[in-house]
Order: sequence, then C-alpha cells, then structure tokens
Amino acid sequence: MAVRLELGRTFMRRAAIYSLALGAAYWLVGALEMANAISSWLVPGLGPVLKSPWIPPDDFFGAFSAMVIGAVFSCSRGLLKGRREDIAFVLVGTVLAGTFGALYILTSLAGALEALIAGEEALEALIEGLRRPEIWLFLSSLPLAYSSWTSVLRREGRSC
Amino acid sequence: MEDLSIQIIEKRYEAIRHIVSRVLRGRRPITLSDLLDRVFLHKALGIPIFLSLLWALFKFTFEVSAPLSDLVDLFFSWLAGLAEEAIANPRLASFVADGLCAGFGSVLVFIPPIFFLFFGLAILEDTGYLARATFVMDRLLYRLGLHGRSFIPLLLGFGCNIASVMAARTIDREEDRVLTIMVSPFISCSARLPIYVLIGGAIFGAYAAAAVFSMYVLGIFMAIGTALLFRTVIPFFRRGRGALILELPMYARPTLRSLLAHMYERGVLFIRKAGTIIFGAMLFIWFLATHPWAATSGGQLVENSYAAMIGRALEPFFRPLGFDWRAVVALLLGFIAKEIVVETLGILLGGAGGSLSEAVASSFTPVTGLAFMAFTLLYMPCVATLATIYSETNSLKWTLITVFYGLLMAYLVAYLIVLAGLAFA
Repeated sequence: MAVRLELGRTFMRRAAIYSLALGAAYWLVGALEMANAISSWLVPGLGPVLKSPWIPPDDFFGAFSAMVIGAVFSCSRGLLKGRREDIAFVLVGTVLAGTFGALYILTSLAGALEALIAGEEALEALIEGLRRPEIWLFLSSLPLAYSSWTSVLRREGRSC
Repeated sequence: MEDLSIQIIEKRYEAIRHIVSRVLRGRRPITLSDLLDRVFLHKALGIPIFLSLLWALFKFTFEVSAPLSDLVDLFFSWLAGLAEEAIANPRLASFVADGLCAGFGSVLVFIPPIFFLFFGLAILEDTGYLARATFVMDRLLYRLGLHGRSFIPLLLGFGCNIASVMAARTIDREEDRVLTIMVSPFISCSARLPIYVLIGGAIFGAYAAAAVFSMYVLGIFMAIGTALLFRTVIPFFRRGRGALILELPMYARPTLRSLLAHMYERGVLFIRKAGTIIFGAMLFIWFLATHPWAATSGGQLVENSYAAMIGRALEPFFRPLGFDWRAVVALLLGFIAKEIVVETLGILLGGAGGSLSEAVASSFTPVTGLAFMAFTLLYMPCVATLATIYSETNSLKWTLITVFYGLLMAYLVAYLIVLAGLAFA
C-alpha cells in the first residue's frame, strides 16, 4: 500500500531532533556496555570497568545492538534538511527499540520466574532485570514511535 | 546459460517499466515497504541490523524459555526419585530412573528453547524480513564464495540440516548447490542446541548465552571459510557463479495463529524424534552404561560398564582435547542423532535434574567445555543428514569429503581452542 509522505517541516524537525537525541543516548549506553564487556572478556581479572547496576557487566552483543539502534536513529538527520524519505530511519529505529525493549522486559520476567522456581527473591530479580537502560530508552521512544507511524500511515489502510 | 537467463529477466523488467511508464502518470507512489527497505537493505546498516536481530532471536530463545525448561527439569527429577522409591526390582528401577527419566528428561528439557527459536524465526519469516536478510547477505555471501540463494537453505539449517540440504534444490547451478550442501552441516541445527545449553549453562553461567551464540557464529564462519577454501582449491567449484534474482514480498503483520502453526510444525519434529530414535538409543545407552550388571554393581559403577570400555579405548585420541571417556562415548553415539549426546551425558554422568549440570561442571573446564561444544558443532552430521547428502549429491565422493573434512576441522578447531585456553591461562 502506498504511503503519502506529507510531513510538515515542523514535524520533521522535531522528529529529527527527538531521533538524534535517542540515537545519542543509545550510542552512549552501547559504548558504556561495550567498555564493560571488553574489559570483562578480554582483560582477565579486571572485570567490568563501570560497576553500576544500570550497566550490564558483560553483554558484548547487547552493546553492539544498542549501538546499531543508535546508528539507525542518527541517520534520520536528513529530515532536518527536508529529506522526507529519511523518516524511514525513525520508523525502523522505533521498531528496533521496541524489539529490544520488549525482549529485555521478557528476559526480566523470565529471570523473576526462574528465581521464583528456585525459591529465591523474585521481585529482586525482576528489579535487577528492569534496570536495563534499553527498556527505559524504549519507553522514551514511544511518543516518537506513535507520532511517526501515525503520520506515515494516516491516510492508509493497515496493509503494508 | 546464466547470462542468458539474466538477460531475459532484465528484458522482461524493461518491458514492465515501459508499460508502467505509459499507463501511470506522475511519480511512482512510495510504499511503506519501500520506506522500510531504505533502512533494512541499507549498504552499511543492513548487515549490522541483521546481526542484531539474530542476537535478539537467540536471547529470546535461551533466556525467555529458561523458566519453562526449569519446570520440565524439576518434573523429571521428581519422577526419577519417585520411580526409585516405588519400584522394588533394582534393575527395573534403574532402567526407569536412570534410563527413561534421565534420558527423556535431559532431552525434553530443551523443548521450550527449540519452540521459542522456531517462534522467533516464524516472526522474521512472516513479517517479510527473512527475504530481506537473504538480499542483504547476498552481497556478503557472493564475496565469500556462496550464492545468495544459499542463505535460505543455510538458515533452515538452524532448524535441521536435512531441511537445509533438501532446500539447496532451489539453487540452479550444480556447483553452487553441491557447495551449499557440503557447508550445510556446519550450520548449527536445533539438535545441537541442547548440548550448548547444557554445557554453556553448567560451565559459563552468566556467559551462557554468549557461549551458545559463539557456537552459532563459529558455524557460520566455518561454513563461509569452507566455501572459500573449496572455491579456491577444488576445480569443480571454480567454474563461475550464478546471480541472485529475488522478488521481495511486502512487509506484513504476522498473525499469532500462523506463528504458532509454524512453530508447532517445526518443533513437533523434535518431539517425534525424541519419541522414536532417541527412545531406541536410550535403551541401548542404558544397557551399555549399566552392563555387565554384576560388574557395575547393578548399574551403580558406570566406570566398569561396556560404555566405559568403548570410551576408554578411544580416549587416547581425544586426550589432547581434554575429553574423558564419557565425552568420547557421547560424541560417538551423537553420530546416530545429535540429541543423543546430551542424553548420553545424562546417563553416564548420572541422573536428570540439577545434578547433571553439576556433573558437567565437574567434568569440563571452561576451555574443554568450549572445545567440546565446537567439536560437536563441526565433527560430522547425523546419519540421517549424511544419507540425505548422499541422495542429493548422488556422490559418495562428496559425502565422504563432508565426513572427513568435518572430522578434521572439528579436531583442529577444538585443539586450537584448547591451545588458546592454555596460552591465556
């Protein structure tokens, strides 16, 4: 189904700024996670360089994924120059943010359930899982996801 | 021949463009699929996005399914304890608790991750993303000696290598088809997953998902490396390559019903196998592990069993890799079906449940565990896959090359892992 890219300049500017901010945040989170993963994996005995409950100590591929999402959001800067088609980077960025956000929420719930089965503190496990920054970045991306998707699909049916 | 077919297709699309330009006025309307493809098929971002989604799929498969696996595990541990208490005849009690419950328990505990893997793959397929992944990977695969159409067969290999070998029929050129078939066994099928999950979970703890993922990546690298090597070394594969022509479907929203149907269709194959081949193998392994009955003191002393005799005879070959006789027996029987490796370890290392993880943790070091996982990935496909390779290539030569090359690579890679481990230690 065809889409009409009748996006206003104000909308495009706002979407681009929002998207660039999210991109920078994902990049930052990815870089911090990557630093932790590299120090944990490659430097025996050193462990994670950032000992924060908010940054996972050893998730190399998770860090890579966060950086990829950051890169996708960052590519939407063409919207500032009036390139309407670059809204695609916002759309895909929100899809990826949603995929990973939902994934980390599910893994947190699974962790809590595992703790429950093992007779450990389930709530503690859940809170620990929910500290993953990508979950909060996903929640922050929801307004952008809603506005960009509705703007593109406004006049169209549900089919793609 | 390929050039002619490509020219025909190009002419056909030229004619379509000509007709469309005469019938439609104005600019061609842009679709949502066109928009999304700007990113998913992006030259620089396409492959990183694909790798990220693949990682998400594996995380979903292993971590989200873990509580369900724990429940199955608990159930079989409880059942084994119950059987030992309730059955008076010691041989029958040993058969039910150590054979049936330990064997079935150690295999069925992997049903949740396998079903989750197929559910995730169904999402990628039904949304239309898998076709894009083929397209994105074609550029890379072509440079690496494979054909773009090899991607779907190789991807199916994550489910089952037989499906992968069969799906290579879609590749027109004989050389590309045979090469895809020969590298297919390096793609880690779902039957190997339980082995990684067991050893990864027991030895690597919080790093388990990364250890498992590394095996999948190793399999992909080995497939690509082998393709490149064969293209260079074997004259049969040097005779040029065909181009990829692919019609991309529109993106679509998958329905839960279709996702569940896909998951069930593929996942149920594993259960059927568990109920047939594995059941037979289980009886055989239990017999080997508990007999001679007197020498093993009624199945208590596995080290005096027939399995131990076979394993010890072969152990010297595997000593450089750090595998003991139990691991050797598991690998040997894994030739029948890869699922049997876990089941054999379950019986030889003692019982189902949490104790199996502890027993594995005490039998392997992180280095030998990783080497064992790599060996299992590479050493040779199961007997059913080999039979399919033979029937699809119609060549004993290619089948034997697949077997011996796989064994050689498995030993070499496992040995390199051990050497690297020693160097780091």
